[in-house]
Amino acid sequence: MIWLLIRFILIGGMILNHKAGIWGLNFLASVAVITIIFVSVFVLVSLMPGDISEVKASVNQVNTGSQLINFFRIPVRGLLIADLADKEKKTVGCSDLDTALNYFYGEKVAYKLTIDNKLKCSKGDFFDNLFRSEFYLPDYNGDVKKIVFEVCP
Amino acid sequence: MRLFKNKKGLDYSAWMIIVVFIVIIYLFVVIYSKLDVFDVSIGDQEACLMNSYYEGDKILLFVDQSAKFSVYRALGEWGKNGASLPDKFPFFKLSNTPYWFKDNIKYYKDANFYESFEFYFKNNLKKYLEKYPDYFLDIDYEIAVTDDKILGVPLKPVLLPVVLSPEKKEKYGELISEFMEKFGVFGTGIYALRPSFSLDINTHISDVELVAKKVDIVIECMKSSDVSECIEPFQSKDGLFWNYFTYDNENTVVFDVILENINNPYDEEMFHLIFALENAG
Repeated sequence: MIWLLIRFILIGGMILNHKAGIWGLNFLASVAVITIIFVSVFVLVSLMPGDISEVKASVNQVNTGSQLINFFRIPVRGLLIADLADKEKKTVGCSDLDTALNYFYGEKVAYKLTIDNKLKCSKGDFFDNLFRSEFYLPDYNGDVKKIVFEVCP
Repeated sequence: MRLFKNKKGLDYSAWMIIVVFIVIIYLFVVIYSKLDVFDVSIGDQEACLMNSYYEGDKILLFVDQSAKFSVYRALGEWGKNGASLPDKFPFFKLSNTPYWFKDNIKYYKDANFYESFEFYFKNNLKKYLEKYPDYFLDIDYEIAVTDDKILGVPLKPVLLPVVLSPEKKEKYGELISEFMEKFGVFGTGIYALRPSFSLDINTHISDVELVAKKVDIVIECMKSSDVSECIEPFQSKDGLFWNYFTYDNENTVVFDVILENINNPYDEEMFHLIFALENAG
C-alpha cells in the first residue's frame, strides 16, 4: 500500500507537466467527488431519520397507552372501572367508562373496549388518530382476561 | 486522450483506478464496521425502555386488582378456617373445623388474627399473580395489615427485559424472565419494577377479636347452661349473628358466626367465622 502511494505521488508529480496529466487529475477529482457524495449518502442513510419518527410514534404510543390504563383505576362506587372485567360484577358498567372518557376527552370521543375478543363497550366512529392499549386483568374467580381498549379522541 | 495512448499514461490511469477502488472499498469497510457496532437503530433502545415502563404499568394494574381480589378471597377462607393458621389449632374432624377451645386450652388466646389473615392473603395473591401471561410474577411480599389498610412491598424487584421489539419480547417470555431474575440479564438491559400496592379495604379483623372476647364468656357459660342461652345476650348485636351445631352428644359445639360488617362486593356470600368449642360442662 505504501509502495503504491509513493509511486502514485512520483508519477503524479512528473505527469503534471503533460496535458494527459491534467486529464488524469480531472479524472481523479471526479472520482473523489463521486466517492464523497456516495459516502455521504451512505452515512446519511445510516442515520435513518425514518427510525426517529418511528421512535417518536412509539413514545407517543407508550404515553397514551399508560394514560388509557389509568382509566381503569378510576374509583366508581367503591369499586374500580377495572372491575368491568369481572363478569360477576354488575355495579360497574360501560356508562361509568363513558362518563370518564367524556370528562377527559370530550363528548366526541369514540372508543371500543373488548374483553377476550368480545366487544364490551363502544361508542362512535374511529378515525386515524387512534390510541390503543392491550393488557391483562384478573377477574374475581382468578381467570385472566385480555383487555383491548381503543380510544379515538 | 494522450494519457491512454502512451504506456506511462495507461500505467498511471490503471493504478489510479485501482487505488480509488481500494480507497472506496476501504472507506466502506471502515464505515460499515463502525455502524455495525450499533446493532439497533437510533432511539430504538430508548423506545424499548419506554415500552418496558409501559409493561410495568400493565403489571402494576394487574397486581393491584389481584391484591384486591385476594383480600376478599382470603377473608372467606380465613373465616372458614376459624381465623387460624393451618395446623396451629387441633381440628374437629367431623366438620373439619379448628378448635378454639379443647382440653381446657384456649387456642384463640395466643392467635394473631392479623398474621393468620396475612397467610391466606399471600396464598391467594400468589395464585392470582402466577396467572399473569407475559411474565413470571413470582413475587414475595412484605405485608402490613391493619383494619382499614393493606400494604404490600415486594422483597425483590420484578426484572423486565428491555426487549427490542414485541416479537423478541414474545420470544423471551416467561422462561427467560425467570432465568434473568436468577442469573442477571444479558443484552440490552433490564427494567427493575417493584410492584407495591396499598389497598383501602376495611377487613374488620378486630371484629374477630371481639368474637374471641365473647367466646371467653360463652365457654364459662357452657359449663352450667345450654349453648343457646349462652349466646342469647350477644345474638344480633355488634353485627354478629351466632349459629351453632352440636356433635358428639353435645361434647363439641361448632359455631358459625356471621360478621355483618365484613362485606365482599364480589360475592353475595356473607362472611362466616367457623370454629369449634369443646363443651366442658
